[in-house]
Amino acid sequence: MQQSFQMRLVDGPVNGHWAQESIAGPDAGCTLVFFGTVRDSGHLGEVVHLDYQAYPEMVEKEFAKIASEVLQAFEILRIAIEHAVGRVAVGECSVAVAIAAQHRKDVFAAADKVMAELKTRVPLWKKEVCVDGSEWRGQGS
Amino acid sequence: MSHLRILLFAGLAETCGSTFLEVELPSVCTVAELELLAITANPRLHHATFRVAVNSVYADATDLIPEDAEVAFLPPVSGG
Repeated sequence: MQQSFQMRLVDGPVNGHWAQESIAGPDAGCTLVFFGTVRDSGHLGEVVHLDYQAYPEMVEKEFAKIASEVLQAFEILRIAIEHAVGRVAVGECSVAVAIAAQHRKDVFAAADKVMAELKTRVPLWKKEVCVDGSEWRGQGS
Repeated sequence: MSHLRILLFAGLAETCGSTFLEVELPSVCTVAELELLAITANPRLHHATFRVAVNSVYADATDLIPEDAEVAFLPPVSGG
């Protein structure tokens, strides 16, 4: 079973195509693509857009650790993650997590684990820009 | 003594008004000692919440700062 992990940061919103194509293969019996999208309501009210910032070298290292843990913990084949940096408008996607597995059993839990770890460990930050002000959001938001 | 530039991100950079801080380190310095030096050099860090990364890895308070390390202060993350 050939397991793999890939990730990339993208200027502006992501569309998930790269992530989905990266995990494709004849050994996969299912593919899950999770999209995180920007909602219109935030801590300060109506959201205009989010501004994402990253510490790229460390993002890559942390995602690699998370992927290694998830590939060990679940019966899945491949993971690919795209995350936005810069501006992402309401309704656009800030993150795409694609997971391929032989069977569907573990893909949902694996995607959930990737997102949970992303939100606590990966050095990415979002600033909520709202109609009535803006602020950097804290852990897990 | 050696000179160290500390990378700052997101709200922490806004708090300090810069994307980096510069401090002079003693030849042997732990992460906890570095934090104290940085807060002394920039009191606006005093009430800030952050973790320290050394060479792109989260560091513990007792870790020593290696020579020529890349050090970053990371405010609470909020990706996704």
